[in-house]
Amino acid sequence: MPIINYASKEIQFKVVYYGPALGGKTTNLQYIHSRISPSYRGDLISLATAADRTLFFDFLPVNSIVLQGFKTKFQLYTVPGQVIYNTTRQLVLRSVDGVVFVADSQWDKMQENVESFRNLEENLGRQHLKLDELPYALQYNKRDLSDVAPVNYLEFLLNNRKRRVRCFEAVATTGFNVFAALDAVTQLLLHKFNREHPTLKPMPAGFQAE
Amino acid sequence: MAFFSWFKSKSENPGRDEPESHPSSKTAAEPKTIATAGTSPIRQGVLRFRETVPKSARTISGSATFKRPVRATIDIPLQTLWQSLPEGLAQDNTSLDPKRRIQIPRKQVRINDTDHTGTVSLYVVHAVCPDIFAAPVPATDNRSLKFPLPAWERLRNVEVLEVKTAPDAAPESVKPQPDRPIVEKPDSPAQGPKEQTDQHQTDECEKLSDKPQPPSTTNGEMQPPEAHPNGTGRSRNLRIALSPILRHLPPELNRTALHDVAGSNSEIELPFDLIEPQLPNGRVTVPLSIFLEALPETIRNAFTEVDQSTQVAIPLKEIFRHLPSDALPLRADQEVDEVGDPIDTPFTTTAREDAERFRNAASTVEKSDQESARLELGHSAQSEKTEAPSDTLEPVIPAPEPEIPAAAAAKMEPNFSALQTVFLTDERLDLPTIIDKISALPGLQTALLHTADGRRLTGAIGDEQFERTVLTLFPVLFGEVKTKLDERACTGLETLTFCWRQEQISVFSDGRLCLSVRHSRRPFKPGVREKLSLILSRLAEALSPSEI
Repeated sequence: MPIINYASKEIQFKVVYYGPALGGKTTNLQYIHSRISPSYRGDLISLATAADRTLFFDFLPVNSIVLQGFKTKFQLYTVPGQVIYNTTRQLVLRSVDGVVFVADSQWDKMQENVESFRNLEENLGRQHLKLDELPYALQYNKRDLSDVAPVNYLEFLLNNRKRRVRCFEAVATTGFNVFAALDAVTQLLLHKFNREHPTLKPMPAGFQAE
Repeated sequence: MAFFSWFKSKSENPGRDEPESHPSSKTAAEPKTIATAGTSPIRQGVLRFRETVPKSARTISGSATFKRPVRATIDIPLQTLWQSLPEGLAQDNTSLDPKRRIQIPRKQVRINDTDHTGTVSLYVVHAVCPDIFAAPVPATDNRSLKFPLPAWERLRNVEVLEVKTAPDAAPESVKPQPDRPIVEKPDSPAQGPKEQTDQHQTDECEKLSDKPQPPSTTNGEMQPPEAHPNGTGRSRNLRIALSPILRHLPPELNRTALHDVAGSNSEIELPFDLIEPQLPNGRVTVPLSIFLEALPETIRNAFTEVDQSTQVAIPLKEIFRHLPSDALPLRADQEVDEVGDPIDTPFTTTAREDAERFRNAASTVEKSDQESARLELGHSAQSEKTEAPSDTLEPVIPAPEPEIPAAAAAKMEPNFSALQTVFLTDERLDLPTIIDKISALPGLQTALLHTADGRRLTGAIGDEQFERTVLTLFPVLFGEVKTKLDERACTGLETLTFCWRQEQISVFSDGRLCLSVRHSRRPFKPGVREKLSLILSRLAEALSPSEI
């Protein structure tokens, strides 16, 4: 559920980048951070271990322009992908509005992708949220590598539900389809918000990329 | 503020935080997770959250919230099977581990819900676990083995029966889970009990997936692959190259001699029925016994003393080389997630810009490829002409002189802004700063940026002799190793690490530009190698060819 602050006239949406460890979630956020003008975004807060693995989460606030009286803000988070940090993932997922699931396209990561996806569904379930009702998109990352699984297998693994969501082949290190996936999820969650709050219309305007 | 202080303490003390899923870490991590209510607001939130989980969800019988996966195999204690064996067939094995479990493909087991027993062919049991048999069981043996179902399987059945009697169950709206890969084969032998088993399993899948969520949402669950209409019989096998499987064997089974015996072109046949249900899990394994059956005689003997319950992983890549095109069916009733009228989000413009940029880049690469192909053609035509002069006039495509525009010829400051995001900094970067930041990465001491022809650009290794070697020898060695590996289809070499007693130096190269780093103690910490590789590629993009 987005946070609506009537006093400060703000609507906050929370988008979480979810996926297996070392799949490229932080790289996604780093790229987004690098492309958005500093005047529209805050600092990228990244709590990583000494070995650069995400310890708690990465956080990137993105502000938008005030329109119709309400300022729309997006908070982008990543979760630690390692299996042992499940409680952290549950915490980060609280009040999530949209998810970009970052799958690692490498052949030997298929099982981790599936497990992470199931873990996402399970963790959402613990918050009484249903994946099928949540705006989310799939990002098949690392498509520039040579040893990657074909998209049809990734679709078979992760997108074989009644609701078929949008998927993007991506290369987070170069930024290929990073914004496309985020845009897709943002559109979904704004549409959902408009349906649920017909009187409030958050209308974020675009900002200048760097 | 309390949040951030907890946050800080968390970052300073990176402990595991999920004791439930990792019993081994329970004692160490539990005190951190089960914090007192006064620790922080978030911690309180955790406790509150946990308390909100319905009690019924924590129990097995009422698992309304948590879904229990139905695996493709049934775990049966070895001792149960051994005790159920007919007299004279069981080996007098006193050293049997009573805790050991045997996995039998679920399809091979006929389950009787009334007396909670399972029946499986003796031949299958022998194939899965030959060490409890006193004598081998031939494939023609029609005898079956009846055994009591273990408690966890009985529980599953009870759940199914409970749901079957529930008045509000809506079976037609329910789809099985992705990890419930039971597939009914239309052409399977039509035996009464077998049919009952399959039906039971399918129901079970449906009911189990139905239980956690109301019927309206269960439609979203993934479906197992549908049975193939074009005659996918039980006996269908999949041919898979042997050497990649041997390469991925666990260390205790991996013996170099096997690779020599097997040869690089050997293939084995594995039952597709065993592989297909596992495809939705992203990992495929087969019991060692089945793998052994498929192996050539020459190698099979090498595994006689190995634990027969071992699972052999089959590389997915190899499976996909021979996978039928209809083996990955998507649900027929899928509804595409469509948004209505497009809304301009804060990210739409950038997404469009990126799409445009990558489209242009792709077309530029395509053009340059065509151009280089044309030039190559021209060069070869020229060389042919030089080698074999003829009187006839041949069209010669002259190699274009490189034209350097005046603006480009002027010394331009390289733009390292792409590296700001790698180092998570907004400060302006130049080469010395970048090298300093690389040296500060975990586990690294010094860094040197140099060209493949031995020219030092910036940084230092810290030892004159090593530095000379790094500059003159490492790029050459890297190039040679990379070429040899590429010839063997092992492409994508990122780095080479050279180790001495006290020293370790790694070199990265993109062909023109090289980055050598000296390790402070041990090889790369997780993530550092990938980061260095990314830095080098960004540096190569930022530095113009003339600078390199």
